Amino acid sequence: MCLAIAGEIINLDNNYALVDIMGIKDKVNIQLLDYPKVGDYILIHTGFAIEIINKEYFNYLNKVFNEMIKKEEENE
Amino acid sequence: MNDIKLGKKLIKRINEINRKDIKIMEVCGTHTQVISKYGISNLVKNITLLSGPGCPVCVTHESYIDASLDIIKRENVKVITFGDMIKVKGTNKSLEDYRDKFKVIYNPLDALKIAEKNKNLDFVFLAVGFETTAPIIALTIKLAKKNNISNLYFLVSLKLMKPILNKILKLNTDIDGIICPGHVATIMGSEYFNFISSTYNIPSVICGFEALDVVAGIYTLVKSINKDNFDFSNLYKRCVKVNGNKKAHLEIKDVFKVSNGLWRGIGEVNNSSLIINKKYKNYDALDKFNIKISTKKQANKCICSEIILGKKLPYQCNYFSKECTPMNPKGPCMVSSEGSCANYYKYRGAF
Amino acid sequence: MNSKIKLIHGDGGKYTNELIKEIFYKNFDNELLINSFDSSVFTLDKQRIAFTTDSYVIKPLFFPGGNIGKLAVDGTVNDLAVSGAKPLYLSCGFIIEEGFKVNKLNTIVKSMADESKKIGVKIVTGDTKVVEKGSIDGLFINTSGIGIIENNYQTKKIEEGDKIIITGNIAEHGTALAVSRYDLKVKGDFKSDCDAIYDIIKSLSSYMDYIKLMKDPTRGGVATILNEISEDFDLGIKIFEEKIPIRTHVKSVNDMLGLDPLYLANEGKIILVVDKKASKEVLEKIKGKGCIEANIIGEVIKTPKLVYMETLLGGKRILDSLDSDLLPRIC
Repeated sequence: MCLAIAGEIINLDNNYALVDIMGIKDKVNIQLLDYPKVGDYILIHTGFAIEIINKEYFNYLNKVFNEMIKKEEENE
Repeated sequence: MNDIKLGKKLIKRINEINRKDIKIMEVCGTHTQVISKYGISNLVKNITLLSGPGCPVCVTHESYIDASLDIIKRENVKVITFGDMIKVKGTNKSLEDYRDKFKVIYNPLDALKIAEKNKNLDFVFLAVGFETTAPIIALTIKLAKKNNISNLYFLVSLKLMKPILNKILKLNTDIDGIICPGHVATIMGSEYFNFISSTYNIPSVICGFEALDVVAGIYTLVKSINKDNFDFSNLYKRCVKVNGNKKAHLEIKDVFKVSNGLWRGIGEVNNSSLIINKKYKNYDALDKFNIKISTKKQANKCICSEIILGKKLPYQCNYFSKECTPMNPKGPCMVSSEGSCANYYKYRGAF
Repeated sequence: MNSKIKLIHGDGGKYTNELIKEIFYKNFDNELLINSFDSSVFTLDKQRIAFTTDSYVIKPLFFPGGNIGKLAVDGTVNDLAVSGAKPLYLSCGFIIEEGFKVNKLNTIVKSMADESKKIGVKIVTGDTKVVEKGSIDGLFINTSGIGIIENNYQTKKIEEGDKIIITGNIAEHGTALAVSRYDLKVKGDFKSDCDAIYDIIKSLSSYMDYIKLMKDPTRGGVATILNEISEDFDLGIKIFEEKIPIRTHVKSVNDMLGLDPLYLANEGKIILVVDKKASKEVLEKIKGKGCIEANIIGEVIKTPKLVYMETLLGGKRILDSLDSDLLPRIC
């Protein structure tokens, strides 16, 4: 559980944001977020944003695991 | 595409480093779907991927559905629901058998709109889900109160993952690692799940829902298991903070309180569900329609409860693929397309 | 005419005639129809005839990119086309709910007339019934069609190695309907791909010896149609996820709702099973007709005798037939 999708905030209007989800635009409730800004990527479940996606960790898995594999191959 | 490349590399590494026969359990319908969607099960050798109680079908007790059907049969009442619930059978029937009396929605706020537009009817929203959906239901109930909507009620069945995980791991020493549900963790925080490693000495990871997320999770578990470590890692840092979403916690606390929960095939598990508290009692369908959700044990002749708890595999059930098939399911594991039995049946030795 | 259809419009008397004249004859204006009595009579030279029928009960009646009328024409005409026939004549039967708005009916019937004209097919006979309010939801349409087989086309036995081609992006119709049905206030380009595909098939006339089978993947989507083919010929089919054409917007909405595009309806696409000797050329010809997303998505295999997809990760995913309605999920 639970199906959620990511989208980018295009503009803010009180408790709602207009969000771009891979080309489609939808209105999403942002009451559960702390200080969302235009340009933030947010995680959306049933029309509500449940978290702001931390851009610093966008490529976390790619970075960490590519390095890990490299190290392991060097050690073998 | 970089993610897929890395995913393929990791799968290769998993098969290179794994020297044991291991069982990894995930407890989230969406994780089950991703594993199925990418065919990950038959890519990783000597690793059994178990599906725990993580989908609405698997966990919604027959008596909750019976209560919904009791309501739906009444005059001037209609039911509003997420799509997940339509085919779930109660003791005998499902919502599907009452076609004209329910509406499927995607966003819970649509329930408010429907109630406002149809003041001559009462509506009951089947508020089913886990911790991820709980704060959203809370906000919806609060908004109903704020807007003085007096013809909308909520039949709540919100389940909590920590108690059920405790139950599974207490009963089951066979599970070697756990993939934790990333969106429950988004709400509750990574700290919600670190008990798995510290209490049960098995490695656990919090994963997101892309192919790479799940494969990286399996890889991390396999590494730990083969080294006899029991590390806990948060691999979904882009969404999961240590403390989770504080606003969500506040909303949940404002509207709900913890209670015992009824899990399909398993029965009652202490403190494993949320119910509407006193402050919002006016919106509780149980009160309004004077219903009790029966805790009577369902006569399940199949071994679904053991399968959901990870103790047995589908082919160990006497009914599997004989009397019990996806067309004629006996228990939740076969009813749900995400259930273990349904998945085993599908792959019926084809590969 | 009144603004609403009444039961009396289905009685066969004066009011029925008024309905037929004002709505049906006015729109489906052709000699065969207007001069017909109980049947429409015409001559067909000694040819092989294709004859098909389909009933349309879609909800909602109007959707982005079309309506039940346009679908009723395209659907039946396409069934003729994938059988290798040039569509010639259609019948149409209307079952109308008492109280249905006349101008709505006229819009639907006009769509059917416009679509028929575009394709070059004539609606030459029909029937109208009006039923009590509540016994159906709005309108049902049945269309039957006759066509003449061209190029001596026959369905041929499919074999291991035959290639599977699809003529364009999948799941457009099913997705447009889902957006409508679940009231998703999403702004995006969602339109049914409801369209007649005869022209595409016509352009392949010199390849008919290599085209073994053609089908339109409507209800149940691509996955269900491939299962039908697999069962009919007792062979397996393997497709590749990376080769399946799908628009980003369509994929996003399906991700949001938890739906699977492989099981959503397509109303303007064809699946072709083609001898591998000619598959590349057939693909180029199809692309030349404007179907730029057309692609070879897989092939026929001997075993296992089922339909599966090689996923982006290299795993295998069995694609069963759709056994029940797809519903959006939250979990």
